[in-house]
Parts: sequence; C-alpha cells; structure tokens
Amino acid sequence: MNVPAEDRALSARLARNDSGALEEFISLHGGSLYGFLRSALGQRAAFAYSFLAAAFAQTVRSTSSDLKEPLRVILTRSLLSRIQKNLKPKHAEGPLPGAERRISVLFLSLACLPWEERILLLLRDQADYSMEELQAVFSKTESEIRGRLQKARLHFREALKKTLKDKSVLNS
Amino acid sequence: MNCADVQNQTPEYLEDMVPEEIRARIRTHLASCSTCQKHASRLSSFSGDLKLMGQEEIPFDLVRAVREELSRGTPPSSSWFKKTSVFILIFACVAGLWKADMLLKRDSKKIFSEEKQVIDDREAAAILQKLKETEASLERGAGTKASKRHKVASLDPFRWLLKFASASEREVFAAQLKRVNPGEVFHSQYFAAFSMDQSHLSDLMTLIVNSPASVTEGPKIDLKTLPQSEAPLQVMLLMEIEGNRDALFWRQLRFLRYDSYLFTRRLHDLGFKFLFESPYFVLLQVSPAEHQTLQLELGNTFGLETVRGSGNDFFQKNSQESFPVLLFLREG
Repeated sequence: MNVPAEDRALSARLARNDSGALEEFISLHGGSLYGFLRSALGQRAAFAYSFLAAAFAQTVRSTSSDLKEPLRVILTRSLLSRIQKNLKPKHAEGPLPGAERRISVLFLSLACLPWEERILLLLRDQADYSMEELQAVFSKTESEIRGRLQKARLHFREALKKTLKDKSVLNS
Repeated sequence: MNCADVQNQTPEYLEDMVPEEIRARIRTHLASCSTCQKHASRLSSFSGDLKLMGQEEIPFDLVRAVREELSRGTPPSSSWFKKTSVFILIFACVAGLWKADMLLKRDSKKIFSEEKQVIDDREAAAILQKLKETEASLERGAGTKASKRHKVASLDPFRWLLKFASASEREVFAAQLKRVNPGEVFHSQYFAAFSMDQSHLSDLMTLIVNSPASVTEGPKIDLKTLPQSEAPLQVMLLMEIEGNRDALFWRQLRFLRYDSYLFTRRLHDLGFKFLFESPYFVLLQVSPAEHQTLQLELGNTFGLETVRGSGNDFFQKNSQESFPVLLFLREG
C-alpha cells in the first residue's frame, strides 16, 4: 500500500521523538477520529476516549523510518480493535444530550445500523477514508468493501426514512 | 407508480441499486411530484450532514493523555520475549503436571480428605433452598419497609475509592465522567454518585480500569461477572489525590444496635438537607453549624460507631459555605 511522503516524514520524526511531532500527529487525526467515535458510539464515546489515547500511543511506539502503511490506517485499526474488545458495541447509545434535532436524527438512524456497517459508513462518508485505506483497516478485498458499503448506505437511508416518519422520536 | 411506491424505493434509487427500468419510472415521477422530490432530497442531504457531524475539535487533554500512556512504558513484544514466554509457559505446564502426579502418588490420602470439603450438587441445591426459605421468611416477617430494603441490599456493593497521583489526573478522569454522564445523581470534584443500568456499569468499570487511578477500596472490578439486576444500580466514586485527605468529608458508619433507617429519619427531623438518600449512603449538604450538630449526633447516638472516614475537621470548621457530606451506612 502506498504510504504518503508526509506520513513517512512524520513517522521518522515520531520515532526520533522530535519535539512537536506528537502534537502534529494528534492535530492531524485527533479531531476526525474523535468525531468518528462520537458519531459511532453516541454517549458512549467518552468511554472510548482512553482507547483513542492508547491507540495513538501504540501507533507512536510502532513508528519507524520504514513505514509500511499510512499512519491513519495503523491508528484506526488499533482503535477499532480496542473498542471491539472492551466495549463490545452492538448498539449505539442515544443521541448526545443537547444535540440539534437534525444531528439527533442522524444519531438515531446510525444507531439502527449494525456496528460493522456503522463504522464503515462513517469512515468512508464522514472521515473520507479511501477504498485502499478501508481495505487495509478491515483486511477485506475491494469488492467486499464496496458491497458492504452499499448495504450500509442502503440501511442508513432506510433508517433515516423511518426516523423521519417517527415524529415522536423527533419531538422527544 | 404512486408516491408510496416511489418513497419506499428512494433509498435503493439513491444508492443506484434499482434496475434501469424502475429507475427511469422513479425519475419520471420525481420530475413531476414535489412531495417525493422533497422526500428524496431530505434523504440525500442527511447523508451529506454526516460530514458536518464528524467535525469535532481535538479534546483538550488528548496530547497529555497520549503522553501519559507513552510514559507507562512499552509492553515487551520482541520475538525473543515471545519465545521465552512460550517456553516458560510450557515449562510451567509440565512442572504443574509433574507436581500433580507426584502429589497423587505420594499423598493420595490428603487429596481425598480435601475432596470431602467440596460440596456436591445435591448439597449446593439444599443450601440454596435453605437460603431461599430464609429470605422468604425474612420478607414475610419484616414488613414492607424492611423487605424493600432487603431487596436493595444485594444491589449496592458499588463503592470505589480511587486515588490519583495528581490533581490533573483527577481532572481528566472527572472530565471523562462528565462527558459520559451515566445516570448522574450528584457530581462534584471529589465524588460522584450514579444510578445506572447494567450496561453503563460495565462501561464505567472499563473507564476506571483504563484510568491512571489506583482503586484502593471497593469490589473487585470484573467485567465478566456483572450483577444481574433490573433495578438501577447505585454507584459511588470517591476521587482522592495521593496524600491529600482534606478535600472530601465522608464517614463510614456502623450501626450495632441501632437501625440506620431510624438514624436517617432523625437527620430528616433535624432538618438536614438531603442531596441523595439510599439505604446504603446518604449525601447531605451541610452548613458549618449543621456540621457541628452532625458531629454531635455521630458521637452521641447509641449503637453507632464511626468506622473510618476522611476529611479534615479544621478545614470544614473554617469553611464559610455549606459543603457536601457523605455517610456510608452499614448495619451489624
């Protein structure tokens, strides 16, 4: 898999423990991955916060000048395996307290999806992961990823349709 | 094709998963029907909102949390370590088997005598039956209030005392707790009370396990054996900083010949403000004057013993404002 030159440079700096490298690494991926966690886990995202820190630390430990995969792939894989192992997420929690109605609809609809479909959809449509990155994160072929993604999007739209119809949910 | 048909198939249409013939019919319908157009655009625009939803600021303490994680050291993972671990494991198994074999040969009598201590299924069933009968008779004889409290008794072993190395560590943990908010009843810098369901309890345990705090008191945290309860579980977390015992005022009380229920009733009669009350702990908001009254009650109540506690009296006496006081109640 192609590793971006910036990742190679950053990885080498992390391995050398260069000043500012860790902050740069976190500022590149921290926000999007935290956003992903909040979308995928709802109220449970805060429980996964420590896993985010641990995933960053593990990725930093594994860095070297000879990087085989993009940093984001290593980071995401580490994060997902920790969540899977510790939180066993099957169902998302409800929307975050105080969320806008529109965001609440998204949370409620996402919560209807199985965990695998939810994270695949979010990584692709929210965090803009490439097909190549998704293949590496999930260890699947491109056609498998495409098939699952299509299913996930379909289920998401169906869930949206139901949520929008259910006015009691929206009013709550 | 009517509106219901079109709206039913809109998700598939937007995902390009319908045959071309149906696709053309839906397209024709959408061109002339504003309701279905609106429906389709709502479905497609929401998926675009996913991007907005994922835009989060980096949590303020993430860099610090990663640094702390890194400072905990690298887990050994070299191939040498793995090989050695496997070797040690195999050696331990072989040694264990050999030892067991030797024990069997040399001291079979002892083994058999120990075997007698293990109860069989029939005995276990008999004990369980006896326990159930005792429980039923207790409930029959003790009246409504007592039976209610008896049921709660099995639900309230969750009190953890967490010690943090520094105030910043505690702040990070408290911030995580605030974000989670698993059925919060009361939350301050020093302690937090929750009434939560079982799924949240396992999450909270995970949070504690992954925090830098050392758990100095409380039940063993085992995520595999969670309590089975349909009722909300009461959980209390005390968060202390190493070496600083002034901040939180709490007392663990034991009632020898006095009912804890009567004691809490007395506090009610004296006009104490209860922030939270359960058969196992009460949380009071007390003024400095009320604090003195409380100290007197604790000292003068017959059959009441203060087992232990924390919180500097001098600090509390000099406080001008009211402050929370936590009392743990135990009988017998």
